[in-house]
Amino acid sequence: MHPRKFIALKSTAMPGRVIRGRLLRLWMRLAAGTSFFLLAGMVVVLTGESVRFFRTESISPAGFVFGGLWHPESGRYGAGLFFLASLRISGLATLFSLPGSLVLGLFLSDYAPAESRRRYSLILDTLSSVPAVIYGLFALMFVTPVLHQMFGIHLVQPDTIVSASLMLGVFITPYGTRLVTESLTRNRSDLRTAAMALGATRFETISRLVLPEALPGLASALLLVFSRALGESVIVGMASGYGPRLTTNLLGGGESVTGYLLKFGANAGEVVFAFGSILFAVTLGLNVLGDHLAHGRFVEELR
Amino acid sequence: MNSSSSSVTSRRRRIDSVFERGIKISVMAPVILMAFMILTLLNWSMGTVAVVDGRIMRQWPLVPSVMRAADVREEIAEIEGDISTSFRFGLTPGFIMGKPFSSSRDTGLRAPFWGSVWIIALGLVLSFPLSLTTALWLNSAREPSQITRFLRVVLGLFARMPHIIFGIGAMAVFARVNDFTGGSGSGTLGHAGLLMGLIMIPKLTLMMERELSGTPESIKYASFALGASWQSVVFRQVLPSSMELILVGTLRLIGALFGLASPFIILGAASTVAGVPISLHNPFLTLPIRIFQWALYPEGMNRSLAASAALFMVMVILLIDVLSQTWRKRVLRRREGLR
Repeated sequence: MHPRKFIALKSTAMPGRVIRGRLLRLWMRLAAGTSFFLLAGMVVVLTGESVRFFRTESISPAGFVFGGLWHPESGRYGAGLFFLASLRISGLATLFSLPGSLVLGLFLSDYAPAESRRRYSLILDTLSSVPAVIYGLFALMFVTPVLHQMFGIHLVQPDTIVSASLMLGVFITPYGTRLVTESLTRNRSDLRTAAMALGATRFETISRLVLPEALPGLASALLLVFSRALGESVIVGMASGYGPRLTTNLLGGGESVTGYLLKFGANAGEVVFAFGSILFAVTLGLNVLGDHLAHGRFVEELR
Repeated sequence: MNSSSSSVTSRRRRIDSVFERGIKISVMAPVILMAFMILTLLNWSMGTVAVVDGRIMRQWPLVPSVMRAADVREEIAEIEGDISTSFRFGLTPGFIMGKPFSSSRDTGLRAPFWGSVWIIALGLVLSFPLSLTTALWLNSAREPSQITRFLRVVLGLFARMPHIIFGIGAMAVFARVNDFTGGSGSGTLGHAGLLMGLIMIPKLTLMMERELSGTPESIKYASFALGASWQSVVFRQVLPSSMELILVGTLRLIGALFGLASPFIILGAASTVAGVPISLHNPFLTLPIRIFQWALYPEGMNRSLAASAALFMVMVILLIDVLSQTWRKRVLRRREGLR
């Protein structure tokens, strides 16, 4: 029951208490407003700077995103290759993380013994705090050299995107697992119990009941994981990409948006704001879409 | 039940058990991967180093040094100059404490580590009171209104936003402010602290709000029954009872944010730092950034330094995580009796 129903007697209106109450509420509203305006203000300034960039360089956002000629020295800012590489890396990474997330999610929601479920999700949370730098380092030290050995040094360029995608996939798997577990444990009781009562095996309950039922949640998880992969900069910056490039070679290289921002952003000037605002818009769109798909739920996370 | 269905049943049962075994086996995969990554880091953090005239020419990680010793010796012989080789262990206390290595620039971990600590401390100073008050406001709203729902959605979106965007946005803000005040540059510790605070605000607020709303109902009902006003209940009962959990959550957030690198790299971290920062105007350097720098320029000993530093960072983060988890378990167990 909502506690409001308990306040049958309006708080005895002692003047001091009323004034303090009002002051307190004002104070809290101020704090909430400040939080909001700090964050929103940052976005507003960012958009303003990017608009300024688009105007001074007389490019349209469409020209920026889809343009193919990238030569900042002479003022050509066609960043299409960057976005393409971003999409490729993040898409591959999401693909790589899919089986892992599904398996781990199924395990946590259905196959783990009930007592140790808590412990496993704690371990998962710890795994998710491993910072991205470690994954990038591992990609440089192990994955890329191994790929070189496996496929020959001519086929695999030193800044291959596959290495980045692999590591990125592993990195976002804990996040994906958490989303999948949430959507799988959503509507536990009635239908599942009914299925069990009718003699369905656990595999059948999962494959015919749970998974189709959780499909919108899984779709939203997919979008959110993809948006997370898009935003990751350290792993892709370390493991892939020196310069925008278009290759059909699966093992080739290419510079992604976030990797470029990380490595050259500090001195690149105004372009950075354009990249930033577009990245923000895309992330916003993907997240809003993902939340909407899962019926308005949202997942806060600590990282 | 007719007998012709028993083969179907056994097939179904077989599928089920195969699937179950498959899942239980595949769950080991991430653990194995993690262990392998740690091993690789260990491998690279130790090994042989060939030093010529005080400059480090090449390094070989542990596995080649041990298993292909003859090849390594050959390669050493190919290097000209007066060589002295040594076998070093990466993660030594000297490394952590920041002793500079021979004539090269500062290769210790002291400066980056304290830089990280400083940034987190500054960020907390900015965001902890703000987030706490915001969380209290969100929690003490009597029914979910438009504004609280909106704020929660906004905070959730910002909590999941990629971190570089915070860095770029802060760059934009600082550029504007600099235009206004005539300052220049944004590479100082003060700026980094503000940036960290900005990043922390949404995450901290949501975490706090979750803890606040997790207070046992019995406490709230009892207070209301005794005639307390809503404000009294929140500030004298809910807040103190959740405070410990809030601190635990903050600790966990600190562990998670310790390895944050990208927004600060874009803001402009220093590449060589003399020492521990002592003023808000010093250039700043954090531990993950240092690892990033070493990894990107693999000359000389940098790979080994990067691996050693990475091991150190992982240990710190794991320690903080484990600490916060055990603490949380203890607090929750104490609370069991209240529900």
